[in-house]
Parts: sequence; C-alpha cells; structure tokens
Amino acid sequence: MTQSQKIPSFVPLSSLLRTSPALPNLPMPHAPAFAPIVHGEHTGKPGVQLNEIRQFQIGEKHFVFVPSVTAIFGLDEFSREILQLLRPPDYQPAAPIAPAQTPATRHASLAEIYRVFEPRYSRSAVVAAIKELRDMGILRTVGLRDEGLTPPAPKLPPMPFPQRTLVLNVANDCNLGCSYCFAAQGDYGTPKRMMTEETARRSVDFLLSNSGTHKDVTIVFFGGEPLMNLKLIRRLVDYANEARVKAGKEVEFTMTTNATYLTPEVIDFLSENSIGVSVSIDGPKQYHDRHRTYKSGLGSYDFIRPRVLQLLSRHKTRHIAARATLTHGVTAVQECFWHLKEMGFHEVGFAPVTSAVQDEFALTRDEMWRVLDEFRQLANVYVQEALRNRHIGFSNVSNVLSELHAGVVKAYPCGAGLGLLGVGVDGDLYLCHRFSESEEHRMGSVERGLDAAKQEQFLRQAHLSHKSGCQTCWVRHICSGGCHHEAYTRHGALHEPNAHYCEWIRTWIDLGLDCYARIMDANPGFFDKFIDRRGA
Amino acid sequence: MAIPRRHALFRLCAVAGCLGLRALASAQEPELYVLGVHPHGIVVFDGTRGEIVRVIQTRGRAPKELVPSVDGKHVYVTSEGRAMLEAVNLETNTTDKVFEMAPPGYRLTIFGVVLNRQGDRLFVHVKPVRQLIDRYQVEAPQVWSVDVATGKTAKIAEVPQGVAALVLTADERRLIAWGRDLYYIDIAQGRITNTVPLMNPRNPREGALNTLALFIQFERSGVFSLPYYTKDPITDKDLMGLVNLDVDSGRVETIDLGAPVPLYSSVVSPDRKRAYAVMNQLISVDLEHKRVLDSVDLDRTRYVANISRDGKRLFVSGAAPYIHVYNTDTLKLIKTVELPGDPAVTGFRALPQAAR
Amino acid sequence: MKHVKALNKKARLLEEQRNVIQCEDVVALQGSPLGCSLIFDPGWETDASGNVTGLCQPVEADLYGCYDDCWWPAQVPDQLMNHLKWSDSCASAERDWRKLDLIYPEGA
Repeated sequence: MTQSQKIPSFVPLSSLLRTSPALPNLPMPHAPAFAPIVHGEHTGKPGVQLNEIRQFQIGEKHFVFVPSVTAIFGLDEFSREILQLLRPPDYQPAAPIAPAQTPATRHASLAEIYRVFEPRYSRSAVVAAIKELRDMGILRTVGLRDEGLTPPAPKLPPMPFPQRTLVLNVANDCNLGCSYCFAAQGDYGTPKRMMTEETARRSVDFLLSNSGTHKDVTIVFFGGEPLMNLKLIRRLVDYANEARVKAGKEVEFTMTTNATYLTPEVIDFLSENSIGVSVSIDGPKQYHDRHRTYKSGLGSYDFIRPRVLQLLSRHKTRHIAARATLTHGVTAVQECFWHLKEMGFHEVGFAPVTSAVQDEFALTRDEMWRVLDEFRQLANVYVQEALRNRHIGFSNVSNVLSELHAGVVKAYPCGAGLGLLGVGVDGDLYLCHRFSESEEHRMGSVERGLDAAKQEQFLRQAHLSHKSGCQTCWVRHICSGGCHHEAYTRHGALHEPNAHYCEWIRTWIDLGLDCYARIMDANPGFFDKFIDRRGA
Repeated sequence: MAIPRRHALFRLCAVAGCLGLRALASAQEPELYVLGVHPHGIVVFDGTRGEIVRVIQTRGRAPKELVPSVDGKHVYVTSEGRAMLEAVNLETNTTDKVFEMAPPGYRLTIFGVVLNRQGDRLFVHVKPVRQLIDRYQVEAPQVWSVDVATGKTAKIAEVPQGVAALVLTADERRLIAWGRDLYYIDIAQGRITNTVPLMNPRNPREGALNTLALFIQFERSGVFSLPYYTKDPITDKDLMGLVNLDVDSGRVETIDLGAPVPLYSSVVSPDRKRAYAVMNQLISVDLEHKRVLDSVDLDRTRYVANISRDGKRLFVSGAAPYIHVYNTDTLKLIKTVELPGDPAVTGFRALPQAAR
Repeated sequence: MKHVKALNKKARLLEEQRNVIQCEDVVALQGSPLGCSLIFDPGWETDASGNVTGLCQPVEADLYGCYDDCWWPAQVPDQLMNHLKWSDSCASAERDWRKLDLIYPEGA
C-alpha cells in the first residue's frame, strides 16, 4: 500500500517513542455535525449546494438516493423545488448507467433562495427545510459556520473481526461434471478426497471460538457435492449441536447440493436437523441439461426432478431455494423462474456467468442486457405481488431490496475474508469457498487459526477506497467492486473492480431503487415481513 | 512544678510499652481514613497523627468510590473509569480480587457501591453500554447484587438514569439510590417502592433540588448529606441548602441555607449538630438552628471532607494533592499533608475502628 | 421532519441522530449522572455571576476531577474507550503536567 493511501489511526506519542504496539483503535460512532446555520456570519460566499445525490421519480412522487450513506428519502413539493433550484439551468438527469451523479449542482445564496420562495414560504420555513435536507446529507451549506454531514474517513474493520459463517468443503469430489463449475467439476483440480471428522470438528470449534459476541453462526456444507460425505455431515451436525450449548450460541446449517443423492432418508435427516437447502438447478430440462451433466455428458434433469419434488414435499422445516446459473444461450429467466416456482421452490436466484470471455459458456454483452430485461419484467411482477403482501421469492430482487432497506455502506463486496471464510477439505482456511484449495488465497487453517497478517493484507488491498474506478460511482457502497473471485478470474487480481459489468450493475441497482420506492410507498410493512428476516 | 498525674501515666506507657491499659490504649488508636489518588493508588491516612501510613497500588486507574468493610480488612474500590470493581486487602496491601461483572460486549460504569454488614454481599448500580460494531448502545441502568465470594451477580431492579450513589438501610431490606430523585428499592421485591422527589418535585410551587451525589462519607454520623441548589419558582431566587439522608432509617430532611455558594460535598459531625461543606470555601452549618455558622476562603478548590471521631478535626481533600487538617470550631488550618498524586473525584472514607 | 421523509433504515437512523441531538435529555453521556453545569449555572466557562472565581481553582488541579468522569471531553484524549493510559505518568496535574502523554495521528 502506498504512502498516499495509508489509512490513518491515532496512537499515543509515548508509544511512538518507545516503539511499543499501538493501542487498539475501537470504532467510534459517526456523529454528523448539526450546528445551526448562522445568518450573516460567513467566510466567503454563503449559500447552498447539492451533494452527490440521485433523484428519481415514480409517477408524481419524488425520491432521492444519497450514495455516500445509502439513504433513501421521499421529497415533498417544497424540498423538491429547493433541489430544483440548485440544479444548473441545462440540467438533464443522468442515466443510471453513468457512474457519477455530480457535479450537477449550482451554488445558490440564501438571499436568492429566500427571494424565490417569498411570499409562499417564510424565511424560517425555508431555513427549516434547508436544515432538514442538509442534516440528511442531501445538500450542504457553504461559507456558513457548519457544512453538514461529512462522510467518515475510510478505515479498516475492527480486529479481530468476529466470524459468522464457515463454508466447508466436506467432499472434494462430485458425481456430476457441470461444464461451468468453478471447482473444476468438483475437486478444484486437486486429488479427490473427503473431509475427515477431525477436520470437521476443528472447523466447528474454530467457528464457535472466533465468533466474538455473535449469538448465532452458520455452517454451510459445500463441495464438490457435499452429500457424497453424508456420514461426516451427520457427525458434524451432532457435534456442532453439542458444542454450541457450551458456547452459548445457535448454529444454523445450510447446504448447496446437485440433488442427485437425495433419498427419503436423507431428506428426513435434513428436515429433522433444520438444514436449509439450496439446489443447483438451471430451469426446465432443455436448459438444465445443457451444462449440468454427468461426466459422461448425460443430462441430470430427469434424475433429479423426482428427487427435488420429494425434497420439496418432505422437508418442512426450512425454505428450499433454487440456484439457477445463466449461461451462453440461456437468457429465458422468466421461463426458468416460473418452472422452478411451479416445482415448489420457495426462492429462486439467478447467477449469470460473466467470467473469462473466452469461455464458451459465459454470457455475451448482448445476452447480459437481455437478462437484465428479463429481470426487469420479473421484478415488476415481484412488486405487484409485494403490493398484495405476497413474496414471490425472486432472490436477486430481495437481495438488492434487503441491502437498500438496511442502507449498507460496504467497504467490501461481501463478507469473504471478513466474517465468512471457506474451509478446504484438509482444514485450510480460504477467503471463501470459491477460492478453496487455492494456495495463493490460503489464510491459515482451522487447526492453527486465521493468519492475521494475511487477512490484514487482504483487507487493505481489497478495500473500496483503493478501487480507483469506483470512487465516483453512485452505487459504490452497494456493489463495492463486485465479487473478488470474478475479478480474479477475469482481471487477474481480486482487488480490481469488475469493470466488465459496471453499467449492468448500475442499471440493476437503479431498478432495485425503483422497486424499493414503489413497495415502500404503498406497502411499507412488506419489508418487516419478508425482507428483514433475511438478517442483513 | 509537680508533674500532673496524667502526664506521668503517659510517660509510663511510652517507656514501658503497651501495658494493656485499655482506656489509654484506645485514645492512642489511630483513626484511619482512605482516599484514592491518581494514577493508581489508595492512600491510608492516620487522622490522629496527621500522616500518611501507606499507599496501596490498585489494579485500575484513579480509584473513585471506596467502600470499607465492617471488619476493616477490605476496601472495595471502583477504578479504571468506574468500570472495574476491586477488593483491596488492607492487610496484604494488594488487590485480592477484581470482580468481572460486565457481560461480553458490554462496558459497565459503576456509580454506587455498598457492602452489607456481614461483608459477603455487595450492591452496585451499573450503567451498561453495549459496544456494537458500529455504535455504542446505552441500556437502562440497573442495581445488581454481587456475591463477594463467587463474584456472581443478580439483577435487583432497574432504576432511572441519573443515579450516582447507593445506600443500604440498617435493616438491610432496602437500598436507597441517590439520583435525580431518591429511589427506595425493596431488595426482596426487586422494585422501587417509594420515591422521594428532588429534581422532580410533585408540587409546582417547589423548586427542583439539584444535588451531585459523588462524594459519599456518612460513616461518622450516619447521615448522608449533600448540598443542593435550586431556584424558587415563586420568587425566582437562587437558593441552596442541604439534603440530609439518615442512612439507617432512610428518612430525609432538607435544610434551607439561603443564597447559594458553590459547594461540592458536605459531611455531618458525629453528634449530628454540625455539617461542614467545601469547594472554594469551607463553611460550617449549625444543623440545630439551620443556619450557616462560619465560612473561610480556601486557597484552592477542594472536593471532599471527612471528620474525626470526636468531631474536632476536619480532613479536607480533593483536586490538589494535599489533605488539609482543620479545627472544626475555629476553621483554622492546623496541618497540611502532601499526597503522592491528585485525589480526584474520590471518596474519603473513615475506616472502621478494627482497621489497621 | 416535515419536508423530507426517511424511507430506508439508514435514512431513519440519520433522522434519529438528528432528533437525539436536538432533544434535551442527553442519555448518551453515560459517564456522569449529573454535571457541574447543572449546579453551577451557566456552565463550565464562567460561574453564576459571570466570573471565574466560583470555578475550580487552579484549573490544573481540576483536570482529573473534571474529565475522567466525562464532564470535560473536549481537548483531552478519550480515556473512556481508547487512550486509557495517557495520564498514567502524571500523578498530580499541577506538578507533573509535563508528563502528560500526547496523542498524535499515526504518520503525522
């Protein structure tokens, strides 16, 4: 990290002189400055300017999104007029695709603003409205005694960061040979083997003892195909249920599976132990069988369909999700969605393959935009149902709504290397499951612990403030550069932003904002009922 | 001139050592006091001879509240920004035990500590703050009991914000929490059963009585006394007085004294006839006739005072690193003792007679 | 707020903080239950008569009394959460003020 990008921290002088370790820098709550606007007291030209904002409108209703803090507000006529006044005369709203939403502002003096609004609004009413807009970070006062909301300086997360989720590669092998598998058809290019019971137990212990004050933790069974090591999973579940009592925590289990190993007995085990299941299934047979084949090339749809139906009817204790991968030639999102919903899945999520362009199964640029169009149409249905207080389970939309609702300001695109770690089949720790068995991204082991130095190095390099392409993008705090693994695959470095889908993401988040505002306006209770439960 | 018989007896004692003449021996017994000093100490002060006996190092920084045990063997001390509660052993001169009371992810601030007579149960008032990843969350203040031997805590009651001191009544059935008002907590029932208003008067013609319960020393008289400040809502005049709480019975008395003089704390004489209060002045108050008797300017601000067993000497400290010894009748300075560090907002407690 | 409606949780948090700062009962000052300023109106800078004679004398002797219970958080390092040992070498503020530690931004 270069000197100019150093993230500052505060240390006592005595520690600098004696070269003793710096005191821990605990997180400080960020309090915006709320000093009053003082009339007549100014340095330079006093007035008002817009901050970086994105305005949007749904019918007659006006909204504003503040990217620096991911806050969403509704505007009344008065506040909208104030914002209008601060736009340059030739102002055109920027398309969502455009990264920057500023500096489309002009500087207006208080005197001018008073003049415009007299006699409809008194000066004190104007000042009160301006203060509200200023306190919410929508505009800033200039040349007056205070300048309003200032975003905090970038800093590293507090250490040691508590672990919340471990993704375990319990089976470094798979009975299928799906062409697009990031795990090289199940074994990550390394010898096929199973995780041992000892490693599994150590993983549980590692998670429980490193979870800080989190009251609940999650173990994800992954692979390869995890059900190839069902014996271990049974033992691990028993062990975890015991160990969690001593630790005073709750443990949640989930699993991603290709469904080929599902039997009534297995399904009952999953249901009895409340193990959440995500089935990898790409849609109706003609799409699914293109890539999700046995190593012989034979499609797996016919084999898994009855098993999936059985799972959906027998497993009653958790929601069952379908994860559909979209590949070259497969952009019929709605068709796939309704097919999977009809089967009985509670949630369906789509993962478009956007990795290296040379790969025959990655979506082309045109196909990506067609996918977005399909997403848009499906999102419309989502909203319509949401207004009727029903949740259709289109995960892509609920994920973005969840992040918008919480108002996340992410310094990293996900929890990888932070609160989430992947455990390789031999017990090594990796940034996440996608980096499993990748020596370059190893961060320690469940036996010896997390390599704090490597973790810190990763967190410094991957911090949003270092992604130069992202700094003016209005969705930077939600996207934060995108998946590390995709960046690594596509651009050769995991701390590079995924520039190949920036425009797509901006359009998608804009769509998410639109959905958010429509639902919030007509049925705000929807979020408490269906979205908050996701535990953002 | 014949040597008075009294002096001859003293000399005999001094030469022959202690001959077990109990009456004389008790007159020679040191009156010991403790107070906290910066950065990490408790000073044991001999009030009879006017000298420091010893300085004990505490685990935590800047001890604040000091609570001696009845057997004189321990002093319970809050330190480290009132987040730590330690048991200082006066015989071994070290901290025996630190009570780890904060649940994980919390910081506790302790304002108010009392020990029962048997010495096996402490009562503390804690202000918990939850340290989340992105913010501090202030939670409702509570009164807990602490088992001295095991350190186990049990919640007794929730109290409103603003409590700074705790008092245990003589029958040990009730705790009195001194905050914005006085809250009487029935320990067995686990709730506030009575409130004596101070800052929130029920009668709109009474002013709010503003007290600062940070300096707690009532062991000589059994009366916990604090200056109060108020504004009379009818005449709009600033006034002051004393709020005197009888620790044993829990009865409260207010004594109006007239125009306000800023004062940090007050202490009542053993015979309950006088009170003495300090800040930039030292004043003496006649509690029987309810008026200020005398007042002298001090050379520097003092926070706290305690009084000798015979009521003749006043020990004044706080802020600067000195203890001043005053004559309570004349308010003349008798002696100044230097301390190794600043005694900040600390208790200045008299140790029970058994203490050494 | 009258003209701006907070919609998502972040927006509501900002609104909440705005209200907290504007409301009277500052619960967040979890250090001291009551402060000097309530008794000795109007505040820290002057006493009730507008002079400084009624304030703590000398000001150095009042350092530990004043800030450690969080009455005087400005211009001293935060000893509540972060810099717990900055005054450890200074037993008496009046005498040993030179031994008070200074806190610098790293790399400054």
